[in-house]
Amino acid sequence: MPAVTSVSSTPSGPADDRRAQPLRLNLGNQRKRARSLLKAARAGDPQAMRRLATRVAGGRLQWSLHHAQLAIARELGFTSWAKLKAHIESDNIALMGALVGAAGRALEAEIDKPLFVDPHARALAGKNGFELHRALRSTTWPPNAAGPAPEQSIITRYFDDALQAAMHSDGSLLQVVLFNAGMDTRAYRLRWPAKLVLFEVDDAAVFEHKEPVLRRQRAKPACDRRIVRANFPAGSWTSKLLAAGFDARRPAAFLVPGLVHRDPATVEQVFRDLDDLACSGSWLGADLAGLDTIHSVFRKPLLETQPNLIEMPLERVERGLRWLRDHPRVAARDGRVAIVGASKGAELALVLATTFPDLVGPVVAYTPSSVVWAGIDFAAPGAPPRPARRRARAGAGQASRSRSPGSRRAFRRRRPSAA
Amino acid sequence: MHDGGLDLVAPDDAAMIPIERAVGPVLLISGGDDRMWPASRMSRMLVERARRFGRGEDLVRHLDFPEAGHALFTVDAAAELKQPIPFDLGGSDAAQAAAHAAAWPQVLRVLLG
Repeated sequence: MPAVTSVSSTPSGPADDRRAQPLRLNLGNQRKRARSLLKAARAGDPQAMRRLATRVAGGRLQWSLHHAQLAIARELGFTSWAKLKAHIESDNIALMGALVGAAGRALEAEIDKPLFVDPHARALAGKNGFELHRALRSTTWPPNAAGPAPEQSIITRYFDDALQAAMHSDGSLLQVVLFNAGMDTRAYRLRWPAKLVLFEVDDAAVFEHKEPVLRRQRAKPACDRRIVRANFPAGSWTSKLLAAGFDARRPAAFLVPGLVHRDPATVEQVFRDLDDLACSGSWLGADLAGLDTIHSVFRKPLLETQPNLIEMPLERVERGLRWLRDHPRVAARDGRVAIVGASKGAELALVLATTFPDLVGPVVAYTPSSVVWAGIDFAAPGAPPRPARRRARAGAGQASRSRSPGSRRAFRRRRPSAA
Repeated sequence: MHDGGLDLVAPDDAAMIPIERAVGPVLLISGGDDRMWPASRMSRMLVERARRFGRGEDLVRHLDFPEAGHALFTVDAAAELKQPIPFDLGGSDAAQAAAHAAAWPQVLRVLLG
């Protein structure tokens, strides 16, 4: 990412003692800058004309917005406006998640018997959203990386139905709050009672992307839709929601997606905040999981990480190797991939090459080992990271163990699971 | 340190990585001044194991650089400056760089076929 730093233009005094901080690029601001650059150039401003002429090839008499956007992008170190846009989008986790969600909803509409049809999802996802969706799905569910994420579609449809049922069975519910709304289009695609006010709460960057797309789509909401630029669950969303016209004296339906991914303390805080805000008769939709569920055998593989060089399941690498081998952009000679490894990585490379000869061909092993040594547990008390001597001595202890045939189990084998 | 353990490992011992099962080609690159573990010796063990199974340079080749240490592969110098690796890896930057450069054409040959 090009380094962009905001620097105070005046010498900093006590009143302006902020340190120079990395400035997050904002698409709306860059759009505005491009428009004003274009306006200035068209008005004959020599500096603006020079900026355009140096950044955009070919001397032109007529400048258009895409020239100005290209000039702005190039000034910031990007080769195109699209690259700048993709960068800004991928720099914001809320926006990234929103684009991925939109891509999933767009793909849902294309399958046989879709659970719902979101007419704006394709435009909202954009090229970047589909690419992110595919990249994510190809790691979480490679067999159908091109399709929608079924679990997301089920959740969407479930809450579509639940919200509608709540609205229509209780005539007093005339406010809906969608937290972390992302590219949600329920305001447009569901049928709402008259006088319904729907609040979408999300990061400003999300609406920065969403609102222009919806305008281009000429989308007309089926209710009084209001956007609230606020971070949830942290952030001052309550005051901003009230400022947008939320009436705390009237019951409301709150939809809080994604709580299943939050830690217990955050979930409790969300409930406390909502309890403070909501009056009696309100409705809450949320996806939750108990700790028992989270730590169950079904979830465990999703939570597994590999912070240490111990007990490294070969099957995990095997899955990666298969993915690589089958990837259309990987040239796997004779259906095998090559591995380069160093140190413990060289040991692993050799173990993989001898365990999965159908997957691994060439190996380059820098400073390798001929046996599988016991792993290195960086978290174990007394283990590295500190002095070299201690580390080496720990190695000596391991060495005597490595002699036994069983030492190869240091790389834990597991029965391949039926996928 | 590691050598004590290795003394007890015969080329056809079950503890050995069964290099003969690899499709290859396998290129082993080691430094003689490796203070992390005896990579030169262990590379020779692998070559010897392959030989016992009737495999030679078609399967495994070994490049040894006596003056190089453990950090033979590319190390992220900037990251290392921030948080130095707290182990004695042996060798010198110059020896590692020379070994890396000398090995590189062979690395490419193995990878590109």
